[in-house]
Amino acid sequence: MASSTHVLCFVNNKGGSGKSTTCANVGYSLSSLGYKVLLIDGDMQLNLSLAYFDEDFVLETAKSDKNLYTAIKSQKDLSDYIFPTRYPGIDMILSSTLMSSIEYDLFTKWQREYILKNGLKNILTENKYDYILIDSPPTLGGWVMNILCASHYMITPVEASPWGLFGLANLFDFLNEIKYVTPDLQMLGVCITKADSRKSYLKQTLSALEELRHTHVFETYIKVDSAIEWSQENGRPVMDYKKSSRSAKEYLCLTKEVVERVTQ
Amino acid sequence: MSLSKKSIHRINKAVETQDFEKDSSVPLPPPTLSDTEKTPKNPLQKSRMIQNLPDYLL
Repeated sequence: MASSTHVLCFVNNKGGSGKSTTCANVGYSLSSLGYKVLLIDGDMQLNLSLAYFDEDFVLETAKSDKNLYTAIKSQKDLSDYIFPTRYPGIDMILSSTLMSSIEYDLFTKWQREYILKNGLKNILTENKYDYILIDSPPTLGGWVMNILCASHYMITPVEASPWGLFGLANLFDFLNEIKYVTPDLQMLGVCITKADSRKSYLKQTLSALEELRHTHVFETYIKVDSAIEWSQENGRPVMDYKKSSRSAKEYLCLTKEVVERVTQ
Repeated sequence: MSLSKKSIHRINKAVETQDFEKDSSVPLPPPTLSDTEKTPKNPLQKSRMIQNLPDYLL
């Protein structure tokens, strides 16, 4: 039976572009819209894990054998690595700081680009989730290839800066080079993050992005908002921490756009 | 041309090249899951490549 689960990844090789924050908050927003969500923290920085669990639990899990690193290294079914979050309808596979060495572990494995995809096979067959969201590290190596191969759609958060756009161009060059291993992956869109409307450069970014052809840019862009840092400080998605905040509303709008494009 | 404009130009070029390749070439199909299951644990075991690797990578 074909799976009805949509697998989305958040990828950008530039660090600090807002991948984990966007993944965490789109995940929460999807749940608030009634969808069942599985989050997968694919980054050794553990930020997505920290958005849903307290630090002690995140670090304890990172050292245990119940994290993504162990599952990938031993090529296990990921069903056995899922933890429920405090929110009904949102589960997570947590990361480990050992993900930093995953490239070495992948090196000797046969068809190493498909290990994550294989690990998700049973979860997809069960159709337990409407969406699986995968956060990725700021690299473009073999592990990110795994994430891209396991995903149906890709969202790229990008910071409104010249170097942000330069990084975006590098990412597209990379995608072009690996297209033969990810023929079914669809770029769902580029999402502008950390937009500061007080800076005149935002206008330049928006103007530059208008010239993109065949690449969708989400209409909603996420503006700088201290509520995001406060939500991180408190280990919660911003929609739960402060529902009335500007960023909470923006993430909900972005999520509605995502759903619309996925179900188109 | 500014860095941001050049970057947008590169993205457009990359996307258009992707479309071209998709239409004009036969992409290699991704391996099937059953292929993965059949494979030996360490396919490099007998390879010459492995002889040149330091022990900690094996």
